Amino acid sequence: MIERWLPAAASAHAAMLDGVLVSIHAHMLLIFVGWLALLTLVLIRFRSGAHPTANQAGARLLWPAIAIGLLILGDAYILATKALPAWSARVAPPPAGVTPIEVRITAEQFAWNIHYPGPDGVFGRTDNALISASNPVGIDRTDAAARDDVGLLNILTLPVDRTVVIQLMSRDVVHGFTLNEMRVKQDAVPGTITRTWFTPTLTGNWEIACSQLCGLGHYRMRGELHVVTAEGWAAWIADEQARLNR
Amino acid sequence: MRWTDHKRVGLLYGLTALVFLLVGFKLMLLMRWQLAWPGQPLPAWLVPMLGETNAPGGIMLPEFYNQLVAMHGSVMVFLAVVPLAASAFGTYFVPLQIGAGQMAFPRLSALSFWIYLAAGLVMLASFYVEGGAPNSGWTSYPPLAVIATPGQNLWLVGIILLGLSAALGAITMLVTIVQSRAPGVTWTTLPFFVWSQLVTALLLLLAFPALQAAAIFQLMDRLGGTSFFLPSGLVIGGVPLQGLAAGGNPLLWQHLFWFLAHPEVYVLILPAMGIVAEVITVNARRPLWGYGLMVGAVLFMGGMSMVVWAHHMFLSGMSTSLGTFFQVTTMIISIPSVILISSLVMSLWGGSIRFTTPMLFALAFLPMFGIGGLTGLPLGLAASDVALHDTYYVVAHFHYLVAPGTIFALFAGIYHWFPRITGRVLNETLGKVHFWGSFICMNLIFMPMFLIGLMGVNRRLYDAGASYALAQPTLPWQAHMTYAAVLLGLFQLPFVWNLWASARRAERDAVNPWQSNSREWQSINPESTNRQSGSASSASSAALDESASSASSVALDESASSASSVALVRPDTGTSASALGNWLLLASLTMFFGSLFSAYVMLRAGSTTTWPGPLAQFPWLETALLLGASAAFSGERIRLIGAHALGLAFVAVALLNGAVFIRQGLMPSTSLQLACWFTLGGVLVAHVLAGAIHTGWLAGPGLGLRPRYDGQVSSTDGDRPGWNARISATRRYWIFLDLAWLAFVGSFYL
Repeated sequence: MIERWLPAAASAHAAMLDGVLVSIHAHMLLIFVGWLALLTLVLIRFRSGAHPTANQAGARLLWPAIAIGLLILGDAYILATKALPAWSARVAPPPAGVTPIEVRITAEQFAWNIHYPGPDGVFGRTDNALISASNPVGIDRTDAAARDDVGLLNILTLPVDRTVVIQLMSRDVVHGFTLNEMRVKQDAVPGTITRTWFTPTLTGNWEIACSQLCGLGHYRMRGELHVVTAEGWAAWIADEQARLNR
Repeated sequence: MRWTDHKRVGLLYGLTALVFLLVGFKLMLLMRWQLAWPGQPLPAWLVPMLGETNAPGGIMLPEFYNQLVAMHGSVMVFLAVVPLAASAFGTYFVPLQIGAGQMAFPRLSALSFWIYLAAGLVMLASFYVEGGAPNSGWTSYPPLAVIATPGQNLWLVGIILLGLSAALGAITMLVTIVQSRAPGVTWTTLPFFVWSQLVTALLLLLAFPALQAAAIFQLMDRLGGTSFFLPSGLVIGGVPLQGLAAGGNPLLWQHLFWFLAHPEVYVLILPAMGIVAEVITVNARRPLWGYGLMVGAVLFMGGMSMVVWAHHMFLSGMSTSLGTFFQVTTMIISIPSVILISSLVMSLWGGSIRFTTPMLFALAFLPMFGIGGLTGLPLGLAASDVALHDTYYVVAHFHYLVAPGTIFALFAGIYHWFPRITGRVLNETLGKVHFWGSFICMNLIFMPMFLIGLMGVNRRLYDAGASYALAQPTLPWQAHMTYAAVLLGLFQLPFVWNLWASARRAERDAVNPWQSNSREWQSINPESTNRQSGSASSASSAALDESASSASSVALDESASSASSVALVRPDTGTSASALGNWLLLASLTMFFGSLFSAYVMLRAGSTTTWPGPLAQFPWLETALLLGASAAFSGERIRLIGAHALGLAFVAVALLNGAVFIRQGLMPSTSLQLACWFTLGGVLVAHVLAGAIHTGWLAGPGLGLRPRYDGQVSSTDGDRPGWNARISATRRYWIFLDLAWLAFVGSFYL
């Protein structure tokens, strides 16, 4: 029921997180409906018209004890079997044996600067002094490792079914890197590098949103995520390299 | 009635908080207009009020929208709901319910109101400074808040003042409950409402100092050139920040902020629970079900609320083990909430339920709080928080707790106790229009937000997400929510009219219109203590049996506020009001200095560079002076003068030390270590100065309080305990300063 409201689930781990979301909502709904039924029953049965004299003895402990017991059991079950394992899996690095694509994303008011290491897989040197409209990341082309690096603004292109590790940074204030369809949300905190990873499973054009209030342009700090096929990815790399060598 | 009378202070708190509630509501209406019709001009009659700088051509700027975001939250939480729930109801009704004639410290209680009013005015004044009000959310996360316009300074000053007001109010409330209870009001017969106020006061006392410490750090970052919250290498708008020591940590603010702000959530909820328990028992005509269980749940909840704060920060890069800890504590804290709600429902069982207006609001609180509480569960699990964090789902969640939750409970309290305040019952028909209108509108506003949040639309967006594809289906709903908000405002008109017209009505109603057995109704009409069976109300009914005579006759009278009686040791608690108040003050100061020093430890531990060695100038001289001052301190005049002089000498040497540093070019902005030295040292020196001034007062004008024949007087000398209590309280303060200073020496000089 809840699932139909959620954005498309387009990453490998999305089902796991949605599972937690759905089971906790089912648990909540069960408690709420049962409890509301009890409240309604009590209000009808003990309204002053139907029950003119109050009875001082009151209810026995059984009902609330059962309700609280169920709540604790449900909480504990979801926490232990779903929520904690799911979160540990999210915080842990990608499983061994996977060679992920690494991308650095540096947030700033109000844009996402995206830095690919290029075919050599090594991030070249960057320097804030070199930042310009054509070089949003500030890549220092004099560094050998930086020659094939690609720096782009607001558009993140990734291949489908490949694991990607995002190294997230911020130049100024706290931003929130959000890929709703990938079920990825991570704060970009200035002064630290946070990592998050995912594996897109659906091709398509998705949105990057900022979730932490970051200033007057917070509402328009929108980027795009293009998830392409393996061939599309190869073509995109060739394209970007050709542009660099031009 | 005196200005320090608890009823007058309570009423002032209540009326002021209602005005702030209206201010917060109007800020919300402006936001709702913008969300419903982003980019379209505001109604023409509004435009001149906002001005060209905020809404050129009538179209609201994002800068102004962000001010509304920050101020709506700040006003509602800090200036409207908490003061109404904790201070207004607490100050008015706690003394009545425990049979105390007054608050234990009536002047402090009144002072707490005036400081609160000043803080509120300072915060609102920010709309008129350059750049307008704060614009970084009520959470004021740095670095955004540090680089924000000057309005943020006023917000921070307001927060520091509010902390002071909260501490004074909380100490007075706690001491009143412990020390001023009438005979027969024992811990097991204390009304549940009083328990809820007691735990609320404890939370305010112990949690607010963390935010005050954080506010001082942020003020230093903004005005003193320090960089507690500013890491290295910041580039703002393409320009590198220059002249900073940097190396600070933005997450430090988040920890300090949420250490207050999560307990603050329970400060919003617990008094509401107390009011609802009172109204439900009176209108169901039977006592509270599971009183002991509920008291236990409230105490447990209060304690746990101090260890759940970082569940607001799951996505800030927290480690797995820390994340696990905060997820488990968050699930645990849901248990007492369920116990409380279930007990309230069970209290209805077997009752004879009257659906009066206060009862309707109290009953509606239950499912509304239920929705708000339950939707906290998916937010408290990091795995489901990924989808929901910072979306409209969060907005819906906490509004269900506070708006149809706590505010409904406050309405219940107003309808319930209005006859006790004015002698007149509020009109029931108007009350029911107010209730049903508010109930329906509240749900029309907040229920859609759960879906909008699940669909992934983030909060605090100036255009409600118009630029995002996934938000498109939700945009038309925003307009409907705005219509509901306007309607909600209209449904408050019968309420305001009702308050006004009923208070002015010539004829009075019955003294105890709800036939309640709570003590506050008996104290105005002793005859009505003659109870019939079937109309028992609160847990305190047993207490009434014991002290069968009218409650007010056994209550402590006006003299409770004089120096001698606050110093009297109460046999059943084994302490005096002044000693207890002093210990509570020291507890609050411990949390304050504890927060300052923890920040120092966190910054030092997280620093990537090694900190320079000790900063010694003349530490041994300063240590000798301060320890000397507290050693010299005693009740004799010569030693008071000595302690006063040594204290002042310490302050002078410390200031000299600071001046020497500055002359050498060692500024607060030079390094993080110096920033800590200046800030922590400055706070400490200010506290020593306060101690020295008070000691000087004792040696001078205060000496008149001393018993005439020191050591020789009989125990009937009324002044003697007052003087001795002052001396021991001040001595404890000096010893506290010694300990704080030793921590300072250990941190910077060794």
